[in-house]
Amino acid sequence: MKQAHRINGGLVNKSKPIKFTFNNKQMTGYEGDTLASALLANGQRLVGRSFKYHRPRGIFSSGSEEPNALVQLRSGAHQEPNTRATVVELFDGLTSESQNHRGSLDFDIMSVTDLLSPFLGAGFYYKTFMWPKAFWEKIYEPIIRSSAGLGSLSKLEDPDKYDKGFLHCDLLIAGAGPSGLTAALAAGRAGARVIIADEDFLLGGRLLEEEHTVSGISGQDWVQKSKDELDAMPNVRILTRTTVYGSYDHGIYGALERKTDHLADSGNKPRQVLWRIYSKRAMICGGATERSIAFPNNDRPGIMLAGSVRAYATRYGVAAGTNIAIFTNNDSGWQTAVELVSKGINVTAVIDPRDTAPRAHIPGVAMIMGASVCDTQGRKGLNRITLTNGQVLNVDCLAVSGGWSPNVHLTCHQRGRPIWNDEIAGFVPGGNLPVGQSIAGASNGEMTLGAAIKSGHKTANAIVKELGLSPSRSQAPKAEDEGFAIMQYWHVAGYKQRAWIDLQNDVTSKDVKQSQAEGFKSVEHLKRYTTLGMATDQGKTSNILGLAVMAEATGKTIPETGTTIFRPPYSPVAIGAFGGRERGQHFHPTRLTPSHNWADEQGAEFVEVGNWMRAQWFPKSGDKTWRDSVDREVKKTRKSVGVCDVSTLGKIDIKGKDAAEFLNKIYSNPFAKVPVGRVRYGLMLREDGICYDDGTTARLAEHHFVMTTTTANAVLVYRNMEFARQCLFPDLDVHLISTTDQWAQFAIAGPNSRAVLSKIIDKVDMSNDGFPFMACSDVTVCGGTPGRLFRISFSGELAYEVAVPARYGDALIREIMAAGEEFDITPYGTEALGVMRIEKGHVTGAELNGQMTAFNVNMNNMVSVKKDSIGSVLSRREVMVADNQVRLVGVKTVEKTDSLSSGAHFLAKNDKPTTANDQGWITSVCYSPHFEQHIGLGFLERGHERHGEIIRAWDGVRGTDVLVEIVSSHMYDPEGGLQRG
Amino acid sequence: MAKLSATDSLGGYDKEIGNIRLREVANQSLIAMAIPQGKESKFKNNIKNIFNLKMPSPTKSVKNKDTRLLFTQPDQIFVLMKRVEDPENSMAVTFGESAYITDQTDAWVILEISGESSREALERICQVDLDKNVFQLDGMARTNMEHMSAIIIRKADNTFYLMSASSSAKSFLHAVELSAQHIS
Repeated sequence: MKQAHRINGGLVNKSKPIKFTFNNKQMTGYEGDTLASALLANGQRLVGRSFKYHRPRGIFSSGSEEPNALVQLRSGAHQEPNTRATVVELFDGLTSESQNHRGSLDFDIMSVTDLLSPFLGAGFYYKTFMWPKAFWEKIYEPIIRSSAGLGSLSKLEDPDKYDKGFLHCDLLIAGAGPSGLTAALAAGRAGARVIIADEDFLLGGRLLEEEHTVSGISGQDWVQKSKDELDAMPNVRILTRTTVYGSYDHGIYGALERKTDHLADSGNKPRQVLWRIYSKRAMICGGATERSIAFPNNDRPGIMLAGSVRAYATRYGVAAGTNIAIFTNNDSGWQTAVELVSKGINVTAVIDPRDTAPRAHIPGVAMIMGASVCDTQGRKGLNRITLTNGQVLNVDCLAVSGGWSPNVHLTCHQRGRPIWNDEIAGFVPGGNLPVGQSIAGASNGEMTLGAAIKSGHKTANAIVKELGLSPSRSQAPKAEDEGFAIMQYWHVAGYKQRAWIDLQNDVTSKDVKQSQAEGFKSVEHLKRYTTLGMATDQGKTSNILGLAVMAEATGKTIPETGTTIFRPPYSPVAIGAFGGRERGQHFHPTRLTPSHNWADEQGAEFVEVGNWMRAQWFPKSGDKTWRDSVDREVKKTRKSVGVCDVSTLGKIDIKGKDAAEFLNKIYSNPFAKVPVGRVRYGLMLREDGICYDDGTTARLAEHHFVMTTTTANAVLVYRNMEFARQCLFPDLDVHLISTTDQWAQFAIAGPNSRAVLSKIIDKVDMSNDGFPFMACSDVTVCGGTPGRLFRISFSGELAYEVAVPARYGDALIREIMAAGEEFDITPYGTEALGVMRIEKGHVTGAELNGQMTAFNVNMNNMVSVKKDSIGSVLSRREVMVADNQVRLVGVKTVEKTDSLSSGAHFLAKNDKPTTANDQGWITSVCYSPHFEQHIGLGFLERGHERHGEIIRAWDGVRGTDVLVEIVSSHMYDPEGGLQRG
Repeated sequence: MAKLSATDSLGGYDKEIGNIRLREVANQSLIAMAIPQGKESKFKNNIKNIFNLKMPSPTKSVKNKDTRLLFTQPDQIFVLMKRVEDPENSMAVTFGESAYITDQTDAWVILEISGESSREALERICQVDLDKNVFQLDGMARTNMEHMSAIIIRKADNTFYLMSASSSAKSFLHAVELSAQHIS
């Protein structure tokens, strides 16, 4: 296809042709084109189908406000639907397709819905698809979605990369049009750190799209000169292809930079980067967006915004039509006419509803004042318009200007409310801008070029002073104030045909009136009921028009009607960009234990425990299921010796003259008199008396303790202790620091643990008398490496924990395994650890679940009444120590072949499974290789008095109901002889 | 029994990505020193006498040839110095009752990032303003990068030390490495 609509001029590089396809049709454009400008250059007027009625639609605008030209870009997993052709930079090999049609774009069978439009007004589906209720999700919604959808997703994983980042500046300038560039020059010359961002790939804004003179040179030359100067300033950072999409607290702005979207291949680099910009001050120089006028059949391909028709001609060298009429209620439409004619484009007429003299003299152009367009013809593209004065004009493009709406979005993201300005017929920012934010240019209602440039200069200099810098002596560039007079004229009333307000959502003026008539009188309700202003364009061309029509219907003024709340993002941001690089296995950081590599070599199965990766079990050949591995690890540990990496447990170094006194307040049981060289088990309560963590704390020296916490609560315990240290007991001389990552720590358990460790530990009397149960000591291991030794047991066996600095952890596990070889040592994972602790009756997070007191877990004697500690008083509240409270018990199946499940409820033998009959529940279960049956722990009403009783464990979720015997929670070696031996 | 051999968190990683060099710094000891109540003056004097350094400020580290001091909280500093075995006990002897000392060498991984584009890479993960005039030589900040707590120190013009938890060292390396790859 030839570029039949390409004219002379423009900023595209005609020496660099670019090939692309639209609906598999080969086309050519130039470097510097957008997909939209290239399509227009190739004479492609029909580019899509409308959302609801499947009406033919063409390109409407030239920027991010585009409601119609939504296309699907690229293919395969890279496919991206709902992309506005007006912001897609053309690149060689670009493939694009139209969307929302069944059949071809030209012959969409779903266009039959347009014939049914009388029945499909606003909210029709709310009223129509009421019954039968079950049909909504299964039948109605899928049909509606498939017929009124937009593009389609590839449903493949997004192969593109995204990233995030942080930028800092004295002044952020959002928008690089005339006011933004002027501001950047002023602030940059004064030495401020400036970031200037623009969503376009070129700086300049309207100066690229209109013919102006700035300081004696063409606007486009002035832009280039300004860019050159800014490029040379090390304190100025220019971000093109970057949309500042949101204004947040404390001068923080969100911005999306499209890094490689304009390239055929990203080169394995992120396609987009989401910036968080920290600014001391910000200037919004976002310009204004043109809007349409609602007149009958105003949605045909070829009906466009006047400023955009001008932009295509001036910037891209494209004539949007061969016979163009202009329909305008303001002076900018006349400037469009002048400029188009100057480029040799045939302008048939300018139609202006104002009863005044023509606003310009344009030879060869009919100037029709006091008239409007009241109908249009041309199914797949405009070919005729009818005026209210009866005239019929043959045109293939109608350029419409209903005025310009200042882009106030970023001034309103923190609940700022814009105020109405009658002179420009638009909302301008109210006085309540976000802290540190200023606004200049057209987005502040300064609609002429001269005014925009002056305000950019003046505002930037004021900010420079606020920043403590001296403004440069340079003067503001000089430019003229072109006319912008406007008559508030929103729609052509009195005709039956539909007049579109929101092209993207197929909302007509009739829909707006109907919404009001049905009681949706708030503008927010109007939006929800009609979907006006939703989707990718966020109503940039339609919102003001919609609420103006609504105001008229309600008899209110526009300011009384108000606007909907503006929320980020200003224009669409891919969810992938919000996610950034945190995908797949990098969704969160992973913590590895010091023996991770060794465990991996052994083929360990790992499990995520918070951020930690822990070995769950170590499969061996012959193991058929995970249970085989776990049973073997338990049996071998109980029979001889096993080793487990317990480095993940929280470790806190506690030092200070008052460390013992501090711990005495933190733990509910006494700690003040723990002797040096001894370990004590401790219980921590929340302030409300609920248990929240337990663990052991070793006293290595008079003023030095080492606490261990559960893996899950390591951070919580540290945080609570730091709070207690700083806020509750600031007079105590005590200092805390986490040493969780400092030490590699291994539990060595089983009857032969002492024998194994005797080969590892240097010069320590390992006898029961020399190093008894709950002893601890600084030691050296393997001939001099500093370490720590604790005689503590989670398994119930004779057991120790040995710690060395983490960098020796890998070497130590290998030495332990070598030393234990003669004893057939086994590594064991978290599953075997869990089995042994259930057999022994030790509680963990399943039991200390944030609801249980020491009384519930049968540790009420661990809440000392002889001292005050956090939570101790409230733990003794009457209701928390009542006789009917649940108490920790052990359970065993009556039949050895039965299984148990966590969450099963305790019921009396003949009771029905009702809440009233519920007596408690099972918290932890396992198959016990020692008892050769399923066992568990649980909470049962008055459980401590009911050992020996047979009741039911009923699990309604899994459909099991088994008889269990209630036993003591200490099922394995209840006397503790093994661990003390 | 054989003597235990040490394994660094990242196995001595050292790589050039574009014009960025990224390497693990593993020849340092890191020691936390907390100041006992009532011993503030003595502690400061000892810092002066032993290291010939004044106390660091919250935003700036101080250093001499072998030692760098970092302010970590109002009553605590970190000492980053040439690697010694069992620094906790050796420093405890030197400082006596004027400091509570805890070895942190193995709790942290230290990455050094250097090269012309180091700032550009870091701006993808570090929310601290690293502009040369703002984050000056020897400047330090406690911050986080990619959900991991971190300390950043400006060691030279374009060279930074990045410190984070040793257990997540590989994730931390991945975050920094990816940033370098994304901009190179």
